[in-house]
Amino acid sequence: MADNQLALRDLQSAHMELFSDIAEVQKSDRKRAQELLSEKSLPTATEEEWRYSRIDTLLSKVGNFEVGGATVYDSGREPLIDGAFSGRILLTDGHLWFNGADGIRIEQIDNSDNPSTFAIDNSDDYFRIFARGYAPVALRVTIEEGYQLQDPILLEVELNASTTLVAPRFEFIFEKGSSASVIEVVTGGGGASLLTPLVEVGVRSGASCTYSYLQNCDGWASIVENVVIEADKDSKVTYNAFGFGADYGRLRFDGRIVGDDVDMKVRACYFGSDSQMLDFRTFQRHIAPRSTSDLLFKGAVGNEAHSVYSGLVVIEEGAVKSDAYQTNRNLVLSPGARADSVPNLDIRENSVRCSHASAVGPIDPEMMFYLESRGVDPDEARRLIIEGFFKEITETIPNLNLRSQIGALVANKLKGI
Amino acid sequence: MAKRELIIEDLHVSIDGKEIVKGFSIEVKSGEVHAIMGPNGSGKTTLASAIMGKGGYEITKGKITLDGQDITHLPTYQRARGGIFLISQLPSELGGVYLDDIRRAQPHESEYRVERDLERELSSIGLDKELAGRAINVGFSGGEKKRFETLQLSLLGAKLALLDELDSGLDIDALREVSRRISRMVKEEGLMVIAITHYSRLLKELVPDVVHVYEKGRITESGNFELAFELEKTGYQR
Ligand SMILES: Nc1ncnc2c1ncn2[C@@H]1O[C@H](COP(=O)(O)OP(=O)(O)OP(=O)(O)O)[C@@H](O)[C@H]1O
Ligand SMILES: [Mg+2]
Repeated sequence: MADNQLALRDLQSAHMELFSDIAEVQKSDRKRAQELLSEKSLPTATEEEWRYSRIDTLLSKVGNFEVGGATVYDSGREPLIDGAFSGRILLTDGHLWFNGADGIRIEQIDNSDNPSTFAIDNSDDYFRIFARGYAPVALRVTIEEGYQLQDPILLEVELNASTTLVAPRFEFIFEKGSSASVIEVVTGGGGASLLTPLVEVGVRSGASCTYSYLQNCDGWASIVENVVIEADKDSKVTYNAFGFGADYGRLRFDGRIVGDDVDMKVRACYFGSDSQMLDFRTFQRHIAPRSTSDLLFKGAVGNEAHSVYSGLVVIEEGAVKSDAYQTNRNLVLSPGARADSVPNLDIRENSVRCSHASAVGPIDPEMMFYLESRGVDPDEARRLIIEGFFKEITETIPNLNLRSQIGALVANKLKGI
Repeated sequence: MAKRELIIEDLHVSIDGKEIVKGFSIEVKSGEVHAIMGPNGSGKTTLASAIMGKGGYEITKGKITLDGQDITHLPTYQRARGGIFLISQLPSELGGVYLDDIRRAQPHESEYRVERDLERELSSIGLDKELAGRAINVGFSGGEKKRFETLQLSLLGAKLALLDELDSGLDIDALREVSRRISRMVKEEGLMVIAITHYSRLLKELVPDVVHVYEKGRITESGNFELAFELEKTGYQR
């Protein structure tokens, strides 16, 4: 597969200015989303789902809705992660640049010739529908049937312009028997920005998808990211989320198992400091039988930071022999910090195995004592325990450059706490 | 170099205002092994924790001196760096933390540290190399934990080892291997040992110089090796 090992500096890019096309692409699919949205009431903080969401600030930004920005398009920018990539997609303030090796097809969707792959309805998240209705850009990335990509595809979303709302939208289709990994990095924030990215992923029969999401926005940005992963028969999915940045950082994960014998792993590490609010909503929906979904979210909060984990496992009728696990563990590192954890099960089928567990608490004093009694000073002991807490997940990140970057982000957070 | 010895005088320890250790005194000299035997709940683990300076174990009275230095109120990590090593009754598991992390966090020099070869230590303690590379005690069996703790003792070195029921969870071979390794440190480096135990089988390997009977927070009787066997026959209510 040497052909796929493109070094980034060699990428010959296609540069597309898509803003001028907005009117053009407002076809049926987009219209439908806009109609759905107009029927849906704006989220308010009185709804449980948006209780901690700082929604007032978010919606004042939607009020100033303005798609796109005016920063200079920068094709020569170094990628945020080192290494070789099979493909790269860069979206900065609405300017798009992409390239892919053999086996990757990247195209604009959301026009009448090329409708979206995924249906929506009014039970979907407000900002999912919002992105479907108003995303200035919608791209589909297809990993073609049978292709096994060695190097990851890097998707970078960066926001620099001020008072800009960006609703980038991507589809990833892993065709039958294909295998690839995607690294999505969201950074920046500009002025008072709101990002509402939507990523919809279809993993077809026998395909294997590893998707890593790193949210490292500036401290004043707000981000509401929606990811929907639909897993078909015999497919394998690993989704990793890493949340470090933003003033308000929300991730809603919808995992839908629509085929038999799926193996889905969902992992997250998040670390909040200062007055950050990190908000996670997860759904593990088993529609087809004999599949496994295994979720583990680990978070730490320091200073006055607050985190929320709220998850639901749904086993629908007919999804017999499902195995679903949901675990959330949180370290609360200072008296002003807070973590909420609400795991839930909704099981409508017998003969399934499900478990959920959650924990919120300070660093275990027994662990501190252990390390101190081995001559480790208390600051170092604390650092080792917190880093160790995340290692259960970070050590499984297949891409070593991403792994070391996450390690550095954790270390950096620790300095300020 | 100051004379190597541990002196504890009239130690009183309270947990949540409740006095558990009530006037404990002992003198241990370089190369000596002292055994402490006593009924459940008499305060042996409390005593060991207090010597190690564990939070919540308030020393209300008395004094602990190691090699002439008063350590009664030092923080735990400084006691450890001063040469006290505790193997707990139930060693903690530390997810994502490794032996190497502990080794890297050590101060560069110490008067009791001896450079040792990891492979050789592993084989003398009977521990699998793979295990020593795993997160500390995570998923270890009871016996593996005790072997792993002993490995750390031999690698980090110490002046005084506090062994709180080292024998629990160890099978016969493990007990022998671990005890022999510690005995060698006693003979070769003058390691001092306070071994808390309920059974003479550990003491057959670790041959103590003195056996103390410890009841209700203090020593009530001291004797030689024979006392351990006698206690095993008669129990504490003689
Ligand atoms: N953290 C604690 N809070 C309150 N009481 C405690 C605490 N730790 C120990 N104790 C009490 O102190 C007493 C002594 O306990 P300790 O564990 O020291 O006994 P021990 O002699 O080591 O017993 P064993 O032989 O069973 O190990 C017990 O009554 C115990 O319940
Ligand atoms: Mg005890």
